[in-house]
Amino acid sequence: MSAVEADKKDSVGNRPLAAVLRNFLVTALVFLIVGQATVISGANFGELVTGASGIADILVRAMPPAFGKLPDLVWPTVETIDVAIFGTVVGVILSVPVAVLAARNVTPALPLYYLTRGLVSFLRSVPELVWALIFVAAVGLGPFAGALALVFHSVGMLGRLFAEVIEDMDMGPVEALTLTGATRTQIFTHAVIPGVLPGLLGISLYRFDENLRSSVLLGFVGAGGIGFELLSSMNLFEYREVSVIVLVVLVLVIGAERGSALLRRRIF
Amino acid sequence: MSVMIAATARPNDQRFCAEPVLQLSGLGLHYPNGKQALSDASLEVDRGEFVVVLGSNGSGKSSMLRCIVRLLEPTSGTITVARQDMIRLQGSGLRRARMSIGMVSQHANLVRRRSVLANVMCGALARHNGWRTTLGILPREEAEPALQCLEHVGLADLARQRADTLSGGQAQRVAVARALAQRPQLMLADEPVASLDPEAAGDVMKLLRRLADEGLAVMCVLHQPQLAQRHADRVIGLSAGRVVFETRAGSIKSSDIDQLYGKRAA
Repeated sequence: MSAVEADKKDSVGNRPLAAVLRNFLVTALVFLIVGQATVISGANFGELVTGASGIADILVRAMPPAFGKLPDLVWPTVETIDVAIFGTVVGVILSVPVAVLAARNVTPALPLYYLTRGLVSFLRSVPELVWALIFVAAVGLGPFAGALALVFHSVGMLGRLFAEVIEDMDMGPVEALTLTGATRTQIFTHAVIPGVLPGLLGISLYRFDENLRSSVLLGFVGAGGIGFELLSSMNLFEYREVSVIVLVVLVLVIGAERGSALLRRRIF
Repeated sequence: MSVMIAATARPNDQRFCAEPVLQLSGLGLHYPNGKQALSDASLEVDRGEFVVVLGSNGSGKSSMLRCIVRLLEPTSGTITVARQDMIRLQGSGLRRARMSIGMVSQHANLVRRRSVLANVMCGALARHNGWRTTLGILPREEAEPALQCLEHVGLADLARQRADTLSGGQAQRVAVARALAQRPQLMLADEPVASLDPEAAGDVMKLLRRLADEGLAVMCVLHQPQLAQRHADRVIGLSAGRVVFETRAGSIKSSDIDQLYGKRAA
């Protein structure tokens, strides 16, 4: 190393002083962010320790689960599943045209691209629970409000994910069919759809899995289903009922997760 | 197979005997970044002739093919394919004209999850502009001709197989079959053997040679002078967007190759 090069470096290892300083500042910044988050969120692990007896008390009162409640849970469970099915299927149907407009490589006009990108960002940024509160006010208590909430949020999520699948697709077959003289719609149905369908189906199945969890939560704000039963039992301190409902939710969620994973594997 | 080519190009039809299938005259192309891709390029390809265009990377070979099918808009000159002025065509007229030009690229560009037969049938979509094909249903009456096209490229036994199970050479031959399903008068091939091993490359070149022998006008862009000499009728050299030589394939000289690729290729 020449004298000039040596001057450029500090004695801290072989790294220049600027790099060492930068790493120090980044580390300090991370600690600062985590520290302020701990303070603002009021994290107090002492309270967790003293509250352990309360948690244990609830667990004791929740045992054994009130399995006699199971027949009453059949209809709310069906409602929860159907809200998820409706929200996913209608969401997927609406998302496909939205995604076509929101994919830069196939959109018919750039203003439509920006418009639909803005729309899906808006639909996605409003949480499902907020959509549910809006629809409970609009169409009243019950599963339909939850289903509409899932549709709106699903279009926000799927519209973007579908558009990304379309943007990432192999454009070779599209060009090949363009050169055969096929029309735009023929190119879309014979080259674009077969190219992106596995991706879209995989994402849709994953979305159903997500929507099923969400439809349980939506019951908390009056959108029916098993979530509403869970909230009612908790408000009445019926912890044995709560435990059986939690078991049903667990079976539902794991079942949907495994089922959609199995189907996704078959598709790809 | 002769049925397919004859459907659009009858040997006794004076139109096809009298005039070249492809005529480029004074073709120029300026990219928006100022680069001159083609400059006053003129050439002709007759029916039943196999013409190879040689040139180094960036010489304008692919740009020329993309101008012919109007994927790029030339800035000057004329392009005539089977008496159609390609430059003036728009919309459905352009789609009809494209139907008469088969094009094979470096990559086969097949729809990977569809069957080989379905991919070939897609070549005929432009002849069936009804609601069924718009909804993604393939025209059933094109299955038999598509099978004939596959037979012609020697892959009829793979008709039901998915396209993503094919080797590179097989996929390229399926791409040729798809182009044949268009019933073209002109076949363009843009470096069709660039990603193939020598044996598969030889098969594809022999196939293009056979198509020319059957009456199709074939123009192929290549990097391999040896393949051009072995299979083509005529060789055109392109350098910096200009036609720098044009000769019978058997008379190509090492100085011609030097002109395109420098001394190393000689």
